[in-house]
Amino acid sequence: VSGRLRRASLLHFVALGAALYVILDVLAAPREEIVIAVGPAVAVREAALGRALSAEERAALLDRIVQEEVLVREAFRLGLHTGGRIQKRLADKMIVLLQDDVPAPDEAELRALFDANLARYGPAPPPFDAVRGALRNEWRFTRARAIVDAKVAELRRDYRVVIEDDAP
Amino acid sequence: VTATTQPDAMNDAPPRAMRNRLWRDPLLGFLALTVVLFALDAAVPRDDGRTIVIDRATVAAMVERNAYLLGRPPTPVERAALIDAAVDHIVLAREATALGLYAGDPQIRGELFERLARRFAADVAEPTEAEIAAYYAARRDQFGGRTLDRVRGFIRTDLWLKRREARLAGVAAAARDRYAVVLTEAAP
Repeated sequence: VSGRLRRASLLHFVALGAALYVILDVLAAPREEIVIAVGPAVAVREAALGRALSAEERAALLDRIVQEEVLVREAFRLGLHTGGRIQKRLADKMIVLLQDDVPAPDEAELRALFDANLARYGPAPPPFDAVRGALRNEWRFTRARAIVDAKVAELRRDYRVVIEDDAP
Repeated sequence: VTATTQPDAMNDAPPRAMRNRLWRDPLLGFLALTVVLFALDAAVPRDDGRTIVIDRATVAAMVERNAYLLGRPPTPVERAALIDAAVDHIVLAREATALGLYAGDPQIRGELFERLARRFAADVAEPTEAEIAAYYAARRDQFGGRTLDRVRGFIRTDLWLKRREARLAGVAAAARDRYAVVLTEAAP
């Protein structure tokens, strides 16, 4: 009897553990907070109708907005945002964001770039002022590229990369 | 023979009893269960968001696309550069996701809804001819005298999209409890 009781204790312990796991992992899981500014969407709808929304119309619009946002979060939670056009778009947005930090070149930097590349213009180089715009674009592009490369190198240190390539 | 085996048998008796007691001890069962749980936990691959896998299919697709553009297979150096660029792309995309750059982007949202629809509403049935006819009969005035044959395509698409929307609304309703939604008038 005592052995049976002891075995029952173990069973109870395991059952209690499983119940706690379910409670903590499923029921008490923190909910992700979504903050949605509804003002702009309401304003757009009211402008389209040319009048204020009724209470029912407003409630329906808010329901729709919340539903869309939940779907977006669910798509991310399910990993549907990886690959394809979404990945490209996200990477492009990140590059644009990083390039915002590129400062404008000053006169001395542009002049130095011009002088360092005189050979590209052949025997009769154009006046500096004629190529100033192109040099500014080149300078910014080079700096932007360097900023993006540096950021990517920094970020890559946080990742473990697995490449399955059978090539020699 | 008897003289040599008897002492061994006597020496074996106490450890065997101990072993039996040990096997029956719930603590041992608990420890064994814990070890099994830890082993299972360690064996289950977890996506911590910090691993990037470029699988064979992805490499093959990149190489094929590049070969088409170059008119020849990429060299080993070019191949390595392709893979490296793909990793950079993923890293940038993940950082953009972490910064929430997807919020409010209509292209990304539209593509996400399409992917959700492909996942959860791929089996939405086409409307039947009776349903199309009923839709037409109920809205005949809105079609400005056009015959059913002329608006059949529009009605079919509209009914199908509504079904797909309803399916996605169900997905959202099922997921709603995972989120605490706060509505504000102005941008946060």
